[in-house]
Amino acid sequence: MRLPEYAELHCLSNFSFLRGASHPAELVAEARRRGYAALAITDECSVAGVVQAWQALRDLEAEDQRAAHEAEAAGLPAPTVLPLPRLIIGSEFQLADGLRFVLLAQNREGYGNLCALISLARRRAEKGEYRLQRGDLASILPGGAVPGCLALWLPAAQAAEGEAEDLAWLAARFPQRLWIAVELLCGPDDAGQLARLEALGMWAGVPRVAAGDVHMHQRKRRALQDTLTAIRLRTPLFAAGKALFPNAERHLRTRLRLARLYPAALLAETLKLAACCSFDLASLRYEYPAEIVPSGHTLASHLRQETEAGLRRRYPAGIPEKVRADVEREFALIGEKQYEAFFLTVYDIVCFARSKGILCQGRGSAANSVVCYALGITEVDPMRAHLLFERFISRERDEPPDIDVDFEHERREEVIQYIYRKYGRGRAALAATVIRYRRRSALRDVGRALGFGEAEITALSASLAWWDKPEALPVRLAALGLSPESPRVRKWIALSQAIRLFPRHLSQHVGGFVISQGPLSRLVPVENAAMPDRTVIQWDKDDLESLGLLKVDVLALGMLTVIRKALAMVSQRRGRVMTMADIPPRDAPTFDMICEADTVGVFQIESRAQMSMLPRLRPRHFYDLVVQVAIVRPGPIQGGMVHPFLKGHAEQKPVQTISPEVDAVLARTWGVPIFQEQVMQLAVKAAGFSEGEADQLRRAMASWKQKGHLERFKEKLRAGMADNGLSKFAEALCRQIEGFGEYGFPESHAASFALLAYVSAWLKRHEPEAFLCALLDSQPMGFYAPAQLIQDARRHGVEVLPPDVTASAVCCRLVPRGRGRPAVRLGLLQVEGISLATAEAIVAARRRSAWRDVQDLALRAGLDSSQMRRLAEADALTALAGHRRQASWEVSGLQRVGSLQQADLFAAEPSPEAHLSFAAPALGESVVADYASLGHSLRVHPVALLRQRLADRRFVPARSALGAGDRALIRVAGIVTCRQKPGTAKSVFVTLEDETGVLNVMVWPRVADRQRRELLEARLLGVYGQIQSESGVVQIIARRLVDLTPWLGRLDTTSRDFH
Amino acid sequence: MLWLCLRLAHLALDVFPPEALPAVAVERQRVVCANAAAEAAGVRAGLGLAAAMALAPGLVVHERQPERELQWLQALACWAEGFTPQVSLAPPDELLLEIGGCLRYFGGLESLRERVRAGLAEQGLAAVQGLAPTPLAAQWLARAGIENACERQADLRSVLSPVPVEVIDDLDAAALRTLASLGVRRLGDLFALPAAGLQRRFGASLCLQLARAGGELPDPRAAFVFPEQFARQLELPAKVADAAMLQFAARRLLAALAGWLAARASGVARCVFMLEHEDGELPSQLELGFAEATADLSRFARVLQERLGQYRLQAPVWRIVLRADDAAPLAGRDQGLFGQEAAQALAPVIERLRARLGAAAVHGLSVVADHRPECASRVVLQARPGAQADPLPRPLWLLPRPRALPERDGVPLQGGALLRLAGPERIESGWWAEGEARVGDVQRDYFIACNPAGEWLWVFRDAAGWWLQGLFA
Repeated sequence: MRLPEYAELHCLSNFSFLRGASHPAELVAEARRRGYAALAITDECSVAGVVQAWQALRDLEAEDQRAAHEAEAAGLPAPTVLPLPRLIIGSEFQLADGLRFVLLAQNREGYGNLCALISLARRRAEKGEYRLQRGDLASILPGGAVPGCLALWLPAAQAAEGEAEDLAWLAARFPQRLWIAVELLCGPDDAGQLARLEALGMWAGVPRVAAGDVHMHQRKRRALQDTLTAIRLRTPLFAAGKALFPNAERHLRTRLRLARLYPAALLAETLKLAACCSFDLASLRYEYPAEIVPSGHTLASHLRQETEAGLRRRYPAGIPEKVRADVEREFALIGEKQYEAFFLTVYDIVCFARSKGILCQGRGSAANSVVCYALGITEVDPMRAHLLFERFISRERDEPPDIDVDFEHERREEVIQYIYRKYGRGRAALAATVIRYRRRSALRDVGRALGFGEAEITALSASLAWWDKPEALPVRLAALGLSPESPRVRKWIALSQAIRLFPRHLSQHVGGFVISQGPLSRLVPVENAAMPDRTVIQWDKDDLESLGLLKVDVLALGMLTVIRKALAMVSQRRGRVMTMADIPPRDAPTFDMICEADTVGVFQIESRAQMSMLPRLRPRHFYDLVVQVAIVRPGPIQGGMVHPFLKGHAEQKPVQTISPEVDAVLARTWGVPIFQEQVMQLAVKAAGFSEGEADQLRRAMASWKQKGHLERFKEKLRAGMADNGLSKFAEALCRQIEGFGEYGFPESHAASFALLAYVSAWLKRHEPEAFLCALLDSQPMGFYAPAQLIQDARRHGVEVLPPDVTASAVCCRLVPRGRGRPAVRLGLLQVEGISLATAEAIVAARRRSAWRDVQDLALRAGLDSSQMRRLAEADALTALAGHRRQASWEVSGLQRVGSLQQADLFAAEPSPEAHLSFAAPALGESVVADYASLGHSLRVHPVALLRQRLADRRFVPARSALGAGDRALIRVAGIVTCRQKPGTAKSVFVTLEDETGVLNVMVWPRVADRQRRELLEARLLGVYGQIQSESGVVQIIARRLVDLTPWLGRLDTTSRDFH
Repeated sequence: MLWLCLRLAHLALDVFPPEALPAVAVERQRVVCANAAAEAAGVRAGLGLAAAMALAPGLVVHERQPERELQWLQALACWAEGFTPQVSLAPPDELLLEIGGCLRYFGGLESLRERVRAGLAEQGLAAVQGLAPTPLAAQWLARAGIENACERQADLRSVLSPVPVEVIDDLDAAALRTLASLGVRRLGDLFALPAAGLQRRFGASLCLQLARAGGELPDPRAAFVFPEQFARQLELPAKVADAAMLQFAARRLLAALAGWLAARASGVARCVFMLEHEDGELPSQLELGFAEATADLSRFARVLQERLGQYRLQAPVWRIVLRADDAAPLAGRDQGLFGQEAAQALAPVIERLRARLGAAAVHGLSVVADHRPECASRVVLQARPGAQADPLPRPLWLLPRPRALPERDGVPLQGGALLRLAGPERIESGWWAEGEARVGDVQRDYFIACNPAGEWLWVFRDAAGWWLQGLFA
């Protein structure tokens, strides 16, 4: 028997969240294996999965070509290639009254209409939902509803009342474009169903077509599909009952089986429909908005004019020859690739930000061009950093340029609103981020579906410490009394693995905007995000990249806020305007400070790991910082590139010579590959990759955990390098590539970050007061809590004054002191529980006249009793009411009148009360209260109060420990300010702080396992250990941990835990 | 007046069977009570559940059950009647005994306290004993863990002074914060502040409590009303299938009975435990008989242990009731077999059938939403009308287990070759029960078939061959 041809026209991927049980790529590959002529991806009111399916087809095609080439090269006959199924784009809908149907796009017009319909249904419903009514299809155009789309009616499995009317209604909407989907799924009465639908179709004159209601690519996904159903219905599986499908027939069935189940005519009909659908995603064209070019200009002429003006500004003394040459080369490339509109779109946004005084900084492959420097998109002078545009944009690789622009985090919203205003909501939307199942969420949802109790699930996820590896799971289960061998636990583990990386919902990308010339919703559906007034498209950044559509990343960066605030304060203090460009580029004291790892608060190079690298790398030039920013990352660390680099850097000569081409790639990093770009260049130069393959490698690196087709490239890399006698080198490179996967950090980004690191270091070195103010006012951000930032500043001689209602502004502020350094007065916002509005009310009322007493303050600033209490607890009322106890008594005695709604919360004339005098609190009590209200204390470090007790037990201060020699045995104790377990290390790192300084403690796995509790819980930690001192980096290797937390009494400290 | 406050700090956990492993009772995902093993691992009340579990892997977690705690407190009140007729409940975890009038019976204060301690210990309980002339002061002392007796009202203030202010009821978080920032940590600090100033800041309730604790204002407490006839019940924390596991709860009830009997100077020669099962099954009875009337808990306990040692439970028990009718003349009323026979005419018929054929031979069916035929119905004592089955082609009679059918040339035989009438209907479901329940994953193609005798059969084929599962009537 000849197998019939077949096209599947009704197939859901896992982008029909918690319904479909296969990834789009799995469906495509299976359809090809089954020899389907076409496959329609018809997710419910969504096209979120189609780009992945489309990309999967392209990958299969590339794979075929590669195999063919290899065979040809080896002189073998060409391998037989299964034809690829055609991809049809469609969507399944259910109207509010229950009517269900599928629409399939025939052409670009139909696709646009489909996207518009999805957008309409999604935009009027809550995030993740949609709503569609008959009226939405009723607007009868001459050709019917949703022109350019075919429709399949999805009848109920059993005859239902009114179905004939439904069919007739649809037939009127889709004249000559409607089919009845006959889905024979081995139900109780397939024969009856077939007969019924044939009769209905004959009556209404509507043809029938076979379809499969596909929910999974293979039948073995049945358990997973049932689990998804249970999760969706929030019920355990055993109670899900008839909500589960009765069997696994909803998979891509073999054509043999289809031939047995369906009449031949119905199968043949599928091909007729498929032939009517010619739309291909590749035909989507992105059109840039026109308004970025003033009339009388072309894109190119406008870009050139703005660039030339910028260059004159940047190089007032004349444009250097090299710059001129680079600019011309860049223009040639931009023109060839037609990227002008992209640069101008970014330029327009940056211009807006600048006009509003919002600090911004571009980064990414295209940002390090002279053009971007001239346009002010970046402050990194490409000359200064030896950066080459072509290093980042390749002529051969057809990859879109990448410019991310970071804005001050507190003001990015203004930029976003500008974009919406300028282009309208119909033309601008954020890219989506697909939120996927991770280990914990998978265990939780699958656990619930299998009927595990909340307690067991919480127990399991709690017992998986953030440093545990997946292999630890059976051990953890056993510790909870759950046998890893029991059938149910095995199902739990297996299904949790299977569901990992399944999409759960669409969220908004952090800032990737898509802006179009025409209505965006005809290009891709737009739906609501969780945030009010935000809309996202249904594709994520990988999808956009696959299709070559461009996005502009509008990101938020706290450090820019800090720099802008600090520069404003410095400008005021120095009496002249100071910008980032005014900071001297080669300031020796700044580099000295960096070399000593004195970098608390400095952008990017403040973490423990970065600090331990600084004294070894000893950055003296800007490019050193670029490397420094990139080197303490999983990629270089896993690849074992750090030590060779340090060696080369110290000797100032390459550590290896391989071949002239490779050496050229690696020259700037002493023969050691550090950056992602270098790895790609190496693949081309040393492993025989084509430019196109190198681009695929880059994409695979970014998503290897999700899609896992990196293996192939690694094989090729190994093979290619082995041919060149570089096997060992290839191994290290492969490990490095894996590290990149998680936190790919290209040189183009490192350069921009390095500039911000340098600027913030300069501020810390030369204007520590302004830097502290700006940091405190931009919290939360960075690696350190306010308490540590203040401690660090005070160790550097900055005088910090407490918040005070008679002196503090809303934010932190510099207090000038004649000719000496200014002091820092903490702002009212530093007081816990005081909101911006409250702080502003206090300052505004104070401006009119000084306070008479607390009553006056409460009355005129309109404060309620809890706000007054907060101020008293923070000791901010000292000037009005004396010490904290006295102030609390006064404040709590204020009498209220009426209800809270009334403007006057406190009586104007209090009933008199006899004065009561409180004894001043002891120092210890004050410190405890400071921590409770402010998170830090300016009086004395809490550990100082315990110093005698600590000394009795032979714990020494941090400063003495740092002075002790290598390998000395020592006891130290301090407040735990940070716990960290980097993915690349086995040990846990703990940072301790006492009154004399900060210590880094390394806890080896053996100790960490044995003393898990001390490690997780202690806020005041004692460590018995040994000093390890190497090239100026001192850390303590813990042998034993002691929890001294009870000594702290009520002191409330917090640690920041990273993983 | 002299008040003894028994504070059962671990009551929230005491209502569950004792646990050698770390165990906690939680309320809204927060630990309210931890046993010794859990405390040793660093788990304290107030900790989040996730944190507690991280500290003590394998932690046994009980959701707090306030009603059960109240039941236990009431049972304890019955037991306490053995000491004094004036007992008050102070939920959630305190019991107040006025012992001024009964000290002499028990040979003085220390002797009484020792008896209380021993009596509690016998029940596996421990309480902090606060002792003061006012009930509130006794409670505060107990909460602060101070067991030193304060017998004279004049000493009250000095005894209470070192007690932390957190013992006071109804102080909200804001008030506690204000007190802390005033440097007021102990009741003594509070006594030092002017009453008018306190009232202005913290409201009347605080001053009222201080006055009541100090005996300056009366503090009437509702006395616990003891039952006239002893029938107390305890719900078990989890269904119990092993008789030995009942011991824990049963002893608690016997202790209550002993106290109740002691207060009435009477005893019992027999008492009965009713063991209640689920699903309307008749409760089982476990009778304890004694050679003579007694009120001695240790005797009760001994007999209980012997009886339980040889008793086999017919079904898991979820609640036990202890009745001791012999101490009081009133006869107990039997509970009906079903709550609502009178309302339904069918019930008497079923009852008669059961009487003739045996209870196990008569049952109802209820529909269960499950694709697997074996699991789509369940035997119940009494079917509820109204549950609708799906309109699927299903036979009325299902065999208890599918019966294997021989086949010839791929055609199943049952009195001859079967003729296929309809199908296949494919059913693949139940993988989640695989390896756990009687019916696990099924993967079958069902057919309606006709045998040479003209009977319509429901047969299926799976990996193992052909099976007969049902008959169409």
